[in-house]
Amino acid sequence: MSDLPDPLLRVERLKKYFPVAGGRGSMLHAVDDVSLEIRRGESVGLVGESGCGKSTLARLLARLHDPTDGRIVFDGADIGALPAARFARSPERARIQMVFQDPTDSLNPRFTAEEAIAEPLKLLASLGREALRARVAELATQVGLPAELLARFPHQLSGGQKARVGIARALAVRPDLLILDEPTAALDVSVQAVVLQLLERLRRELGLSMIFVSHDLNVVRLLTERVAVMYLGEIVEVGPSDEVFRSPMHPYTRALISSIPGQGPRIRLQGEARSPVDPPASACRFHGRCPDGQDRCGREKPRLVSVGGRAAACLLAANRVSSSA
Amino acid sequence: MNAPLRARGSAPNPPLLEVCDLNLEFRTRDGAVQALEGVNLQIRKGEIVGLVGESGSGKSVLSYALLGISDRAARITGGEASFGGIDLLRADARVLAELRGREISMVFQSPRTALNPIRKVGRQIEDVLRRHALARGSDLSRGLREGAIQALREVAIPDPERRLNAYPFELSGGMCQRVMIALALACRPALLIADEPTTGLDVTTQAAVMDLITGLARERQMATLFITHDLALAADYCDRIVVMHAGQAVEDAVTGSLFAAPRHPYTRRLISSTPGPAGSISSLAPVPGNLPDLRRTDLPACRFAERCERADERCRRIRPLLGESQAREASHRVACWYPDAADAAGADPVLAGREG
Repeated sequence: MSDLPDPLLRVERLKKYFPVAGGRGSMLHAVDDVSLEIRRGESVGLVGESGCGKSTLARLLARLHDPTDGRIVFDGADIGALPAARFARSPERARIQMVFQDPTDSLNPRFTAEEAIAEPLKLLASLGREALRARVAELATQVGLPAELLARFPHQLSGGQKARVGIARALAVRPDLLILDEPTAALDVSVQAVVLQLLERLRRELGLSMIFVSHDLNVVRLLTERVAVMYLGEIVEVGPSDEVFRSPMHPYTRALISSIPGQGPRIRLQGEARSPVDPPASACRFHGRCPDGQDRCGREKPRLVSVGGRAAACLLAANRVSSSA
Repeated sequence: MNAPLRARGSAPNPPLLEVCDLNLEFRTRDGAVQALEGVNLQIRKGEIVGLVGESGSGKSVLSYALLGISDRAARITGGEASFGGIDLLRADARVLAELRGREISMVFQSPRTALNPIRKVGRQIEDVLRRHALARGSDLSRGLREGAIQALREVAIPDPERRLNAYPFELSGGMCQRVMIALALACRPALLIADEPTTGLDVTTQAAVMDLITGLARERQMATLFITHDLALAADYCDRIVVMHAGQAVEDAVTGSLFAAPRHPYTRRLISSTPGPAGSISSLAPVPGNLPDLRRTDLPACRFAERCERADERCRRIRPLLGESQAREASHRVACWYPDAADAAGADPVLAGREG
């Protein structure tokens, strides 16, 4: 066996298809044949355009959706096979927690901050009343939420304070893996900076693994060690964040990075992404939009090919790497 | 109506829109909210001006006031706003209605809620053209249809003849925003106000939409007010940037100068809290504190004073005016008693990466 310790989470050929309403058996391939590993204490980014499947993948990993096919192995246990409804009562539930996108939408407006943070503890940890209070107070300190705000309802809190409640709530049951779906998308830059620094500190202090879903590439670059780029349900590139951002291998990653404001010359993509419903089995899904595309890309489906810690699913990237090597 | 608006002025390029000392408050049950205080803003023909600041800084309130579509609780308590010689704040409702959509147009933040969900997009564009009677001729309905097709073609919507019949829900977010832009530009306005036009869009779509708006603006010599909280985006597309904080305009500068040497402490913090292509997470330096509650009657004269490490009694008592402190050249004005030096060295933090 390898000398590397087992990853905390291993995803193997994961698929999630949704039937299309009135589509006569047509399937929307939201997540298609995705394999990925997350090590202990590692922070991994998932990026891509809306509709690329990054949120669906996050929800599969948080076991809020049931996969169509493939395996999700968490700390040695295959948790993918367990239906989501049963997983909610399994001991692994507490170990994977999620922070949702909009803190306003994801907090119950009738719960005070204290009740919101206490809720997962009531469901997943049996604590006495005093112990519960103490744990909530400890969590509030951990995320920098002043104790006097605990009695407030969401509408009495600012965006940044609500984000802190959302994070405290996810941390309440001491998870090993935190999945964050655009945790700062609704915040102002200044508040966002504070929340990003909080997340980084928590990861260091608690030794958490994190999956960070975002379309803000500058934020992902700051917060993650590794990044996976998704396009139409598939991972098209994965590698250390610094390297991927510095020298992207896949043409889609290059276009994505060149679209970040302040990046200088931009690669313009033609048209829009094709439909994720019944995609062709033997063509690159980026074909037709790809600035480098060749005829071959429309006939042959690229596999994710690893080159020293990095991987890209592109027929042309493979050539580029081997010719430069 | 167009001729007197556009052929005015003896100066080479007088401002098309000029806002002077604008004050606006909202009357609420808990007292008056001082939403705008002494705001100054000028936009010239063909100029793209960014209006940036945190949420609650008054960016949208200002644009709604200019269009005369403020909330009913809003009251303008002072100042002037003139657009090509027309007094926007005191003009007759009919005059404003003629102006809106024809001379001054707006692109709203979320196209899906701004568009009528049960009307085909082609019809919505025809509505605008009909309202301002820009389609004429013996066959009005054909003229309208052709106008709508042309409008969609200009915003690079493929197959416009077919898309005319689409409902907003049948289009992607980026396509909806293009329709919104087509709608706003159908009458070839002299001034476009774009309020966070790319919020919620992907970076690739964002780039396409911004290229489209600014490309058309340049081509038509249209003045554009671009409202955003994304400094990096403003840096990429604007000629000049006005920074707002808590209802006050605190800095107004040519884009390059603003990023190379921000002078207001708020601008500097805003830039340093924006994640850029370089730098680390610990180098993010957020703005301390929160926006002050604008209902307060004891607001400091400089509304940034309570968040500012340099503030003293003078800042709390006397409001610094844009351009008054150590008045430099008009290309970089700052409302601060203790601004950073105009020639502060240092690379552009957003474009070139930040120093640790």
